Parts: sequence; C-alpha cells; structure tokens
Amino acid sequence: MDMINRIKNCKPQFALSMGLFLILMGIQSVIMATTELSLIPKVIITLIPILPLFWAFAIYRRYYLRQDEYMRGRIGEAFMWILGTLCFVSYTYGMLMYKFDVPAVNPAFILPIVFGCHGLVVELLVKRDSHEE
Amino acid sequence: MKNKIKVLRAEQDWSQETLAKRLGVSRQAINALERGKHSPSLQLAFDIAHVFNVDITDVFIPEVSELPVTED
Repeated sequence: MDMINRIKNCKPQFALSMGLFLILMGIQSVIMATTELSLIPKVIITLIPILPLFWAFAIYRRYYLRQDEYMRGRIGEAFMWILGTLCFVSYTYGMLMYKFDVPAVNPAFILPIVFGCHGLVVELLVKRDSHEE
Repeated sequence: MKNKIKVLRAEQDWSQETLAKRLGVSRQAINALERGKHSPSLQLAFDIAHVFNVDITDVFIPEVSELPVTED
C-alpha cells in the first residue's frame, strides 16, 4: 500500500472518533440535565467524551508516522508555532490577570483550537514552500 | 543544497506526482525539494539517485561548507 492510501485510511477513523465524541457529548448533556447523580458517576459521565479524543490522538500519531520526512518537518514546525503562540498568549493572559479583571477562559477550548489551528498552519507552511520566488 | 531533480524529472518526462509515487513520498515533498526548500535525508537522497539511475553527486550539489579548515 503506498503512502497516500495509508494516510487516507486514517481519515475515516479520525472522522469516526470525532463523531463518537459528539455523540458522547450529547449523551452526557442529556444525562446531566435529566438525572440526579452522585459524585463519582457524575465525574465519570462528565469525562467520558474524552475517551474518543484519546483515540483521535492515537490516530493522528499514526497519521504523523506515515508521513514522509518533509511533511513530518512541516507538522513539527506547525506544532512549534502553535505551542509558542499558546505559551505567549497564556503568559500574557496570566500577566493581565495580576492587574486586571480579565474574562474567564475555559481551558477546554484549548484542545480544539490547537488542533484546528495546527492543520491551518501546516497548510500555510506547505503553501509557503511552494510559493514562486 | 542545490539539486537537479527538476531537470532529471523533465528528462524522464515524469510529473511531480509520478516521481513522488516512485519514491513513496508526497508531491509536496518533491515540490519543496525542487525549490530547495527541503534538504533530503541521506536515505531519500540515495533513493532519488536510484530512481533516476544516476550517482548521488549527479543529483545534488552541496554548497561550500563554512566549517573552519583544521590543521592536523
């Protein structure tokens, strides 16, 4: 099987994991809204949508390992950009927190932002390399 | 590092896609190599020379090293 087919095989699995995540989020919301739970079941139900995210991460890791050396380099560079931006933004936010009343930010948004922006940065880096000089 | 991949590919009348498939890499990788935006690993460099059936030094032109000359 060539590289392109090996990479294509990861995409349906990734979509399935995201679909499962959304389904579990829906189930979690319904249960939380309709059922009175004790502490431990409540924690379990709250965190259960994280499971497909672990699966998605494993799929993405496999996808990364199936890339060629050039794409691995761009993916790594994209993560460096995202991690650097995230660190600077969070540090700036923390510094502002010392002196000002800043609006609260839910850390649950970090993961989708990181992965969404990461894909975008990879595309931009590849476009940069293919740009006519 | 400069290279003659584009010239050798044109001589064979191969598209970037064709060369990418022969090497088992992405078309983007071939594009970046041809533009000098990516220096290949030693293995990939040998693979490229192999698919064109030439010597590695016929494909890649190393730039002059800036390492200081040591006296032994």
